Amino acid sequence: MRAVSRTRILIAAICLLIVYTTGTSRLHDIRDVMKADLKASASVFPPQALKIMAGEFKGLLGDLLLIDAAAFIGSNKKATEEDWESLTLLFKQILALDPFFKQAYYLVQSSLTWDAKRHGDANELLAISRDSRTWDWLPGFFLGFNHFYFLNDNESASRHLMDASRVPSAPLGLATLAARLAQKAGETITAIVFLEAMLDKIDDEEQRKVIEARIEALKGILVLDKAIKSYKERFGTTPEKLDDLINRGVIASLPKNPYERPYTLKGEKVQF
Amino acid sequence: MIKIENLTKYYKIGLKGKTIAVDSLNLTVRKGEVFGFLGPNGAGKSTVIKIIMNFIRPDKGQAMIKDRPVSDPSVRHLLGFLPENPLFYDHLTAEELLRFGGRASGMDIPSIKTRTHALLERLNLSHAAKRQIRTYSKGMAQRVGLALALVHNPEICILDEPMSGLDPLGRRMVADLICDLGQSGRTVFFSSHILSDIERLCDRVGILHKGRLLFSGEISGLTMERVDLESAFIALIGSQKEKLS
Amino acid sequence: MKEIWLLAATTYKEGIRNRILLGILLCAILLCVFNLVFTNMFSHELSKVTVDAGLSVISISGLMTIFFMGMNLMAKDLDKRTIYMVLARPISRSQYVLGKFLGISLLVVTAVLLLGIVATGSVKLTMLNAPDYIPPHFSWTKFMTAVFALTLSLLIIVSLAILFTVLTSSSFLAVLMTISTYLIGQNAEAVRRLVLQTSSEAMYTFKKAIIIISWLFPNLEAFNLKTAAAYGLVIDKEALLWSFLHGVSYIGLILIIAVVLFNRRELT
Repeated sequence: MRAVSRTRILIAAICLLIVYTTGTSRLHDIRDVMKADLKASASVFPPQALKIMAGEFKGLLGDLLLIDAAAFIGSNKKATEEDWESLTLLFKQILALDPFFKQAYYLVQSSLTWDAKRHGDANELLAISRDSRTWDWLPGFFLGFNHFYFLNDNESASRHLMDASRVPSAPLGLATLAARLAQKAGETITAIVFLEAMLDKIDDEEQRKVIEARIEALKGILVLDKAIKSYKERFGTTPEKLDDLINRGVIASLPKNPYERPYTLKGEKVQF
Repeated sequence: MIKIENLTKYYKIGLKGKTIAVDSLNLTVRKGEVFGFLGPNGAGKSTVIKIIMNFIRPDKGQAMIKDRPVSDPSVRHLLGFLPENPLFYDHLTAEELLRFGGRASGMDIPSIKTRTHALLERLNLSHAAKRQIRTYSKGMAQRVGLALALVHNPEICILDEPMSGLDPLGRRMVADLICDLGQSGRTVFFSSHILSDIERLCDRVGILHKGRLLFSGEISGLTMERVDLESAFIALIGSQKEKLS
Repeated sequence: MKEIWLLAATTYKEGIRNRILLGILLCAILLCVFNLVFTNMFSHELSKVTVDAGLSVISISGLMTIFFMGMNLMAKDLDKRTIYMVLARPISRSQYVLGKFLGISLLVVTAVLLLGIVATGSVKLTMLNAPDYIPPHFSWTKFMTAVFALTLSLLIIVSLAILFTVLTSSSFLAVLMTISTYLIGQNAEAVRRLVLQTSSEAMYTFKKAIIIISWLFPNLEAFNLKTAAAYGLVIDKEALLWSFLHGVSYIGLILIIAVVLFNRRELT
């Protein structure tokens, strides 16, 4: 009697195990590649309402929402404008729940500025982090960078960097950088220094490549600017095209342009 | 009917320690007899009963009912059981509880109805048959428990402290019932520490102390030299204590 | 089978008479009324909000039924030894476990049905009031599919609740373990996706651990179709089928483990 029921249980267990294994692995196959559903997490609740409802579990809820955001960003899927909208709301919720969250502003900087080009939203969110994390110079630095790099607003960039440099732990170069940005807006060498500082703070391979290419291009411009200057001193005129620099022996070859096209000369300005 | 062979059961204390609850117990209860199971508190009476009911498993030995091991669920068709201080699904009424018991033991609805009516009448619970059990007093709950144990008219009744919590009237009622069960050829195995009940009702008794059976047999065998069961019991336990020390 | 049904019916009756169910229902109905008021605070996508909130109310009341009442029904049986009056009958322990599962499941389904009706009513009412905001692909089939899926996920939790009640001697611990499992089941998928994307060597052990966890715990997120129902998104039929098989076989396996453990348990 007992032996019979034991065999029956065993057979049932084996059958169920087979169904479970196939079902679950197929489910994983299908759902692993599904785009993380942002609408679900970036739910209908306005950030402030969520904050009230979360009660004492604000931090935990913030953590959970961040996992959702990270899963979506990491999935490398083509995002629609609607997705970015949801992601922005999600970040607003996360930062409302926990304005101190470091990973949140890191993700904001890497996704909303670089991938989504929503600089306004990103800067708004970074400002929240900067205001809460008074000991952290990085959000302010990111703000400055976004103004400089994406918005071409060197004046604001300088102001943000100046603020960031006042944070006790900020690196010394930050104040210098801010000052130089203010004085000689758009100088190539300042841009290089700024970008190299930024490079230190980026883990994402794609974004690093973008910045490295930009640095390389700017360094190329630096070389060409110098060459044009000595051309002028030697021949008293500006070159008509960049090849003149080689033809008349000022430099041996043109620096490599990382953007896979030749540098061009417009008036007196070199472009990449 | 009930045969217990070399039964031993340990209880764990903490992680490593263990204490013996029942020690190599051999006991036979014959068909149609009323067997009283005696012993001071903590003697292991309830443990034995729980093993007979298959709630716990012995470490050694076995318990058989009609030559079938107690782990076989069909054995419990024959059994009626009243636990110590019984508690029930107390949002059910007495009628519903008895219907559940009867159905679980495979009775059909009409016979459950007549049986329920008779039992509740007999145990003076008819007036409360449609009330939820949580409104019952302790004595009433005890009597409902007895009704539940007997609803399927079992061949063997195992009753753990059936008299506890009852007033003198209730005790009399239950004692009469046990007496009737014995006379109608049912086997009754009940534990108690109320000696006068045992003396009046039982054909044979078993006396358990610290997990060991000190005596098993007819009451006359125990009371031969003594005036009554009480003094015989005390003497027996006392002699055991001397032996141990 | 007869024994299982009998026990399920008794458990169900005991549960229904328990006033807690009434409390939970009252609470849920209040939430539905709140839903109506709450929805009007949104100027856009009213219907989406009401569907979301309606389905959530069903889920919450199902969860409350399990945690406040369902688990109690079985834990009390073991605590107060009422189980003796069941197992003194010709009912095997496997039948007891399955009967309890069935009874508690019936209670949960009852709660879902009652709340489903109330929630459907409140959704319908909002849609009548604001027909402009009904999502373009909304359909009641999707809504009902979502209700069905959430019921299945509730039944998974019932099976886990039974397992943990059998496993531990304290009902508090059992509730705690069930809640933890519920939370893990809700989030395991998101974490799994996250670690599958990383290729860093340092995460290797962590990655393996997460993959094992995603096999041990139910994927409750797969049963969450609230968003799909709310926006009228297309529900992937194949995924739904596999989710169903995943859920049903998971319940079966958990119940088998519970039966095996319960057969060994001493009911002192």
